[in-house]
Amino acid sequence: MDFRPMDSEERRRLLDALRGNATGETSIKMDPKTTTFAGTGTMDADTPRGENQVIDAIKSVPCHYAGI
Amino acid sequence: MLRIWWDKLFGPKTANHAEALLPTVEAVGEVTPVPAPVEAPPVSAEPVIAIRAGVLATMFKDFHSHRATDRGNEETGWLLLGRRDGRGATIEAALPPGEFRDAGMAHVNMNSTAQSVAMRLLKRAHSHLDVLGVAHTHPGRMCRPSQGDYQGDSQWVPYLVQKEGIFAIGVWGMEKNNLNSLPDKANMEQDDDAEVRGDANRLNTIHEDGRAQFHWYALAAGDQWYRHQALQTVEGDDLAATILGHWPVIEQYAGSIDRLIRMQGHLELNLLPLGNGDAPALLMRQPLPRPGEELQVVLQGREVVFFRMVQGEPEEIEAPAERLDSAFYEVMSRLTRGSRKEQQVWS
Repeated sequence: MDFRPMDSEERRRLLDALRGNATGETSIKMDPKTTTFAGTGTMDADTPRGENQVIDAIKSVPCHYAGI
Repeated sequence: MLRIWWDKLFGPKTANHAEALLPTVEAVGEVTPVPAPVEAPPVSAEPVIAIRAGVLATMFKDFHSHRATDRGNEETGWLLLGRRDGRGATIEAALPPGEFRDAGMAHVNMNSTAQSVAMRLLKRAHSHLDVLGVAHTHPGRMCRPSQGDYQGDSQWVPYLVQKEGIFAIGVWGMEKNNLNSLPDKANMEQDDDAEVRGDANRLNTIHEDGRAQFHWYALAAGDQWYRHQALQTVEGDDLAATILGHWPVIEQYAGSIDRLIRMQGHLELNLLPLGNGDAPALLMRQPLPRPGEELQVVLQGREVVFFRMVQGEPEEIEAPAERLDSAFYEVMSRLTRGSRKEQQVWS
């Protein structure tokens, strides 16, 4: 593998992506062939949710009251 | 002349799109035919919400069956599953509320533990499935979400993809002419209704089958009111139909299975095919430390049978008559203790 240190712009983008991922706002994309950083995505729109997130949503379904 | 040509070709709805191309044509100074655009511009930017015909059929069938039971006056409901595509969505499956639901004439709390186990089973075949919303029924003519519904739903929708949910209120025995009559719809409002905005008279905001009706709404995180939501019906089966035959055994052991799955990363849950007259059964598989060995547990009705599989050969194991997850760990403790030599190697 051809190792090359990141330049300052690449480093800034990666740090921004890591911060966004830590706050749950963005996903980090990886090139599956080279495993290089391939930018960020919107967590809700681009990323299938983990099974545990889906299960949490199911277990959080509220009781529904008609209120008569 | 040019405008007439465009209107004839693409109709007035596409005139704006055509206008963007006009300067190029006019600059030439001739009324020469221009290649037609490959794609017509979108008529509406509104996201499409769709429901598979099989899911709608499930909901109506369940609602009719529910009304015929001795719990028919209670509220009932469905968990709506499917695919989000941007702000659009397709409802592809509906899970029932379960026999162990907590319900009365004016409330329903579905068995979410059983629904979560069922969801794990469904996601093995349909990994894209996510939670889209909830349908539930109301007594009488209360075809709108209540204030109580809003209080719960508004706190729940942030858990959903796009932070937006699709909701349906099912009602029984309302007059058909209410479907297309705005004054009647206005009269249907109750004191306790949550606020709803939008056009209730659009097509497909209500679906009807006999005496049963479903009225569709949407609510996003931060919204102060529900919106009337139109749903297109599309072809397709209810993806949950494949597991509904196993629902009784899923619900019976859902609590233990849910606890085990949370703690055992490699525990695998399978449906056993329904045989002739057999009660529905589940199979749990847990790899053991020795290569080629696994623990298998068959759940069928009240019967729970543990097997140790060694190179594909089953050996039945006596298990304590305890709750499933407790018995599972008792058996696992015995099977993983190993010989004195193995203990030395593993330590």
